[in-house]
Amino acid sequence: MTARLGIGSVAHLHADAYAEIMHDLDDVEFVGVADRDDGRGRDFAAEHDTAFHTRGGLLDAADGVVVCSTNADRGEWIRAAADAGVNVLSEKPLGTSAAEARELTDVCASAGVALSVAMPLRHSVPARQARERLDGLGDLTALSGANRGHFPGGWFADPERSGGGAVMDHTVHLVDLVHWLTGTRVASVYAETATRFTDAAVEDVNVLSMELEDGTPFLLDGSWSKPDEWESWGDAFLEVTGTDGVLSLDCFAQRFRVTRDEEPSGVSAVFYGTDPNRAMLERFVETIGGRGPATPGQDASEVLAVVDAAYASAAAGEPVEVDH
Amino acid sequence: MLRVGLVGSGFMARTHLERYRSMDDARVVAVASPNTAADFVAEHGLDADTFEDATTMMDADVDAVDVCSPTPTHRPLVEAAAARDLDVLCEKPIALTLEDANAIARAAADAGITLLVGHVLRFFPDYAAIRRSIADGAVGEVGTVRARRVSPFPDWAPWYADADRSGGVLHDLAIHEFDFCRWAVGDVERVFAREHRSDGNHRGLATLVFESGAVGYVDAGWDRPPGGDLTSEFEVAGDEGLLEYDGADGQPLAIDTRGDGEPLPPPVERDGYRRQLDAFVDAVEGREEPAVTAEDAIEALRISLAARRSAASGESVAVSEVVA
Repeated sequence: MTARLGIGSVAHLHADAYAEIMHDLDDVEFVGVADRDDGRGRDFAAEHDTAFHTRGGLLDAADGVVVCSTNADRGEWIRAAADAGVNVLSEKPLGTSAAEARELTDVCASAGVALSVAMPLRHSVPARQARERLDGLGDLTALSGANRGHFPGGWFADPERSGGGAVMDHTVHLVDLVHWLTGTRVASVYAETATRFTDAAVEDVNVLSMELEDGTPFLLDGSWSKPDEWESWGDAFLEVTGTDGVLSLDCFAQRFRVTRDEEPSGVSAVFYGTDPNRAMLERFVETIGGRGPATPGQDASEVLAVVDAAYASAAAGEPVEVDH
Repeated sequence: MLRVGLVGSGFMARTHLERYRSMDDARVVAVASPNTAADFVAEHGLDADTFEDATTMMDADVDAVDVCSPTPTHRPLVEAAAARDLDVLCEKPIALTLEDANAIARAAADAGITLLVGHVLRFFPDYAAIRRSIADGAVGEVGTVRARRVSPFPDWAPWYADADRSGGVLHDLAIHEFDFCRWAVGDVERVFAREHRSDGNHRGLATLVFESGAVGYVDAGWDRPPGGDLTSEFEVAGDEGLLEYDGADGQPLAIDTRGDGEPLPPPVERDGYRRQLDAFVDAVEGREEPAVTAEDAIEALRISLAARRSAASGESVAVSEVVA
């Protein structure tokens, strides 16, 4: 089957990558984009050679939308899609709290539309291989990982539209990956947050010391600490240690470097592994066709419960139990 | 020529001995170890007197004592050396308890001997250069620090596995990073730590908040599969830049041969251990102040103790509260 896909709001910087993939996939008809900001939406549509719609127009034209709004607008978009009977792949996080994620999950279930959440690491080939091999490590003893990026600026730095800074933006990928790999959830969080790299109104330092339900310690650096000039957008790696061995997963290790004197000058890294975003969109097409979602809303709400606990810990200065 | 009496016959004693042998201004003339001094001297073809009891050695013809024995022995040995006006190079950690560490500092100060505590990372060419880069403003104001050191369990001596004698990984291994972080970034205000301990598998994960407001974390493990290498990484991100160091990089010479090849020597003229011994001799001869003072060692110990207390209590611990 061919699925008609659109992008609901292009506020999120991931929208560009999704647009290119949608053009490229054989079984996808990229029907266009909508955005509350007319100028931004039209510019994006022109740049990506697709149509600009009103929200209603896009929801009429699409079988599924990828919701790339600000975090604060995500709920409104998802409700509109559910009302229109359109399936949803939501950019992460699924709202700005576990309560909102649960509510949105219920809304989609009631409307009978599929809801999946954009967790590309679940589609990373090395991550999938890691999941196959995890049993070989014996009992888990420690987890240590990082998902750093550069300061995204714009609405990400506006708490009204983002719901928070690096904790909101860069906790979910690795926590979801750990939940998915281990089948065990984070039970307790101690957070050290700060604003050190910019004068933004949100935190850019996000260092979390967590514990899984089985007592395994899990350290995560999800800071916006990479300079803009760094060779890539950021990183995502996780080390899992068990009684029988160590597994080191670096989802974007497959890259080479290019150095240029002429503009655009500097060092850049080119990823040559299998694109997880592409696999995620292919999987969303299958979800529209009736297969269960790759990352159900329930999973996203469990990750947001960890984010809730991280903010509570940062405020209290002590570890906080995750309310699952 | 400094006549050195070596206390201990384990891994660190051997490491030091190998460097002394290429030095012109210091020589190991005696070795003290309860049962194995004679074997050690024979194994290394060393022309040195052997003693079962270290204080007996100190009464013989030595100028200085190099203490490479388990941590709980440090206090009586340094006190005995100070009482005989012998200068001391003492392995890290300075002691297991703050009380012992203070007694060591007092004994050295009262006797007016030179005491250098072996926080050897300060002498490693890589770590020394990292500290210089930070001091020169390479990253601007520090935001986050990542310090990591993992190795197989130190199974060459039984006392490491005995937390009552070694203090465990947060005490014996992570103290390298704690001292270096403090030296390179500044004093630490509070620590939160988690630990995993099982047979032959020990990991400590500690978050640090520096007095500057920067946030760091130390990831220290004795949990690699047996036979693996020690690996170390250090990263510091600031508001102007990022410094990334991976000890596995920077190998300027590799030789692959059929059959067993000779292991390569360190690829520098003087490695960190040698530079440490040179600094000790310089301090003894009055050419330089000791590069690591007893006070430095005590401050590093307080961070380790804060981390251990945090791991035990589940709460963050202010370093200023570690007074006993």
